Amino acid sequence: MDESALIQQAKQGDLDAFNQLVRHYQTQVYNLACRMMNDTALADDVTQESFINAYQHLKSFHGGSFRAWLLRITANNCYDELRRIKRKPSQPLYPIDPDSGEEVEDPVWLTDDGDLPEDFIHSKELENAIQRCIDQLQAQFKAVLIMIDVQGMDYKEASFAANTPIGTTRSRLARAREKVQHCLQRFAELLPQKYRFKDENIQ
Amino acid sequence: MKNAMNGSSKQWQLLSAYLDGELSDRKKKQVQSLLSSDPLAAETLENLRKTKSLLRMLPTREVPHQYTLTRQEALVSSPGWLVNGLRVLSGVSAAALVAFLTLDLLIPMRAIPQSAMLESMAAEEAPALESMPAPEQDTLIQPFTYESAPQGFGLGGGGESPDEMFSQEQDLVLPDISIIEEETEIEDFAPDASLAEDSSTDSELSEFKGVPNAGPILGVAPQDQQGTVVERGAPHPFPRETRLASPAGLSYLTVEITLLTLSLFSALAAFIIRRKQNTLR
Repeated sequence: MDESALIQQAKQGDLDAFNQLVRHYQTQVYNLACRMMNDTALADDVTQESFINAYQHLKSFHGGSFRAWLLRITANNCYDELRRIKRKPSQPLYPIDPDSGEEVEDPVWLTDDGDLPEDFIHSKELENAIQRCIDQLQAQFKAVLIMIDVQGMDYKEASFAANTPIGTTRSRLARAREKVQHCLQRFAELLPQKYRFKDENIQ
Repeated sequence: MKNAMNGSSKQWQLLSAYLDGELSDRKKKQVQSLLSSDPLAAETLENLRKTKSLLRMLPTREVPHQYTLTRQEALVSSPGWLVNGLRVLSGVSAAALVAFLTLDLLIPMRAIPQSAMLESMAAEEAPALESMPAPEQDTLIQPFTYESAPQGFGLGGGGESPDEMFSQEQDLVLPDISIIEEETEIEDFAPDASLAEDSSTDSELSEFKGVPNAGPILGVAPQDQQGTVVERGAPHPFPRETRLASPAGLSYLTVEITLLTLSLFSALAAFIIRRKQNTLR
């Protein structure tokens, strides 16, 4: 895929060229939205809106990383949506106990004795635990953590996507990791032995 | 969280960037030196590495469907400028409406047809006019405001001729109307001798003369010679509906209704287009 050529064609109104770019990046855009929103329906909406916004403003893209540009649009849409949800909360992020009607504070975690990390990470409980720790972060910290640690972007690309200087990205990432690590200590029994933190009993 | 595995915030940042290979060579050496001398820093780095690994292992979710845009979505997504333009139009119309309403309330622009004034005065036999030999020659100087007939420009006014206006207004009572200015240019305006003692009138008149072809209010010249002078503070003899229209044929009321309609319709159109866009997404 010649990305530059596709972008130029899309700028001239070639929808097929733009859709090729969409197909190439939609997984990353959707996953950023999923991790940011922790809601597949909202992530679906944000992803679709992000591609529409990208098509509308394609002429404002003047080179650089197209992925970072797309993810910046996505992150901004996520910020807007999170602000809207905060203003008008409609549904809890965590499940409600049908008997008591209260939010389920901590599901029953099952200890998995498997050795392979994939065995653990594929368990829904561990993924939920990590996601819950991510959700505790502020939106801007969350975006940087997801882009760099989950999606593997470097600082420069993530800085462009987050629209912040590299120094800010670095400090936000460090603080986000610190908070997530602290949070994950509560779910130590879910972690594979080799991923359990040292001094985890120290609070 | 200030425990053994954290260290200081700055050290934590350095270790975090070191883990990602995002430090300069100089800082990288500093960190390596720290790690060799401080077991706590080494432990912190190890915990950081575990955190990063756990995050990195989060599964990638499959997209629920293709997000490619259809022709319809691409078309619908285009008129963002249209929605914004309609919103701006709505706002500007609303602001203009407020401005017109304010002008309408604060600066009434009226003209009373000359013939109507004459008839009204004759009917009432206003005491102020008794001392005057003829309306065409004499004027009664009182504290007054001049209100112009249509001038061919300016705010308000309308498309009706004075005679047409008169046909609608002749049944109205005109209290306290003191004078009709007829075939008298402002520069030629001469106060009646009996009123010359009125110093306030003189000063007002001198101000009036200082501005050629201009009335004391709004600077509108009575070139059509159909202006009226009414006593200051007296209730206006004509209801709002009878105010003159502009030469363009638009009365205050018409302009206000037009602006209100424009504002409402543009806001409604923007809302509908936006809603349609959201529905298609």
